[in-house]
Amino acid sequence: MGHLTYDASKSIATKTILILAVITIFEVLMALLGKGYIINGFHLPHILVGSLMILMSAIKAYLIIYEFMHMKYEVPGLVKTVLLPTMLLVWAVIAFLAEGNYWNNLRGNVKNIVKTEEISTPVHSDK
Amino acid sequence: MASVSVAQEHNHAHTTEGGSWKGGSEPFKASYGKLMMWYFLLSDAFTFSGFLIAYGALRFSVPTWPVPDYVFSSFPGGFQHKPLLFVTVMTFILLASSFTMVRAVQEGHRENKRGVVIWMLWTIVGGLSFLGCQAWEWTTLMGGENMTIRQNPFGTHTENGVYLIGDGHDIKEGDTFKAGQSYLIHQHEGKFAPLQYKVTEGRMPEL
Repeated sequence: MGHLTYDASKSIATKTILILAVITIFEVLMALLGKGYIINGFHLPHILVGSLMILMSAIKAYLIIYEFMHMKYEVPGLVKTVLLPTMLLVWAVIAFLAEGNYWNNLRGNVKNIVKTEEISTPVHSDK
Repeated sequence: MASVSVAQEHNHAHTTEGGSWKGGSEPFKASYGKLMMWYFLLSDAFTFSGFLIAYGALRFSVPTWPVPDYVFSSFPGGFQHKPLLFVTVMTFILLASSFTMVRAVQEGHRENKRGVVIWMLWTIVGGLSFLGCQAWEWTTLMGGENMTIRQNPFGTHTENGVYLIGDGHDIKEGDTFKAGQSYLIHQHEGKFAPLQYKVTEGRMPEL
């Protein structure tokens, strides 16, 4: 912080919040557009919206941590001790979602001896 | 504690004496408080990730899950079916309050007491607004939609069909639904009142 003048750091903060606002609005519009809430019947591929969201979120996290939380002004060693352990979380997400998917697949092996409770009264259609 | 760290800050000018192994210099050129705040944030990230990853694993482990855009679609003032709107407002409050906090720190470096007080007050307003939004969301989920720790009134249709009765809210008799659409079972006189429906297409539930 020391090497920046007050006006310079003030304008950086203002610029950053504006960029964050624009990204957030863009994200919401993409989410609504991709799911067909804006143009009826228009959908975007799930993988496209998903990867765009991850990219945008990464940019937002970078701006908040580096500009607002002043990670930019820390020495490289400190930055590494904080950021490298979070890489473990990336693997944790992949591993546990795969595990959840595996539990779901195991359901096919379960013989349902407990009768499912009927919560509604469906009526057979005659067609 | 506070006086110790203040004393350390005051000794900052003399820290080069004594060498690294005698506590003479600060590791990573950061004060004790700042370094530990970074590690607190790191451990906080792990705690939150633990919860979110558990949610993700559970969600992947069941065949159907209510669509979040349906579950989180109310907005204060009685608005319904506004997906993402309230979430966006809350995200924005969080972003804005990190901006006001940065401004408070900048005014502090300038030793402008008035500026610090004003920007800190804005940050507190942001924090209270966020808490208020959370309180409203949870009140709606538990008080209005009757979610409890044991009962989940939200669900997902597994076949296409048509409702035979209305629910007195936004579903009318004769409304159709499709497989994959989410529903909410409302309570009437303290009891869950599932709607009767007719399946027009898809698998019949095994009875």
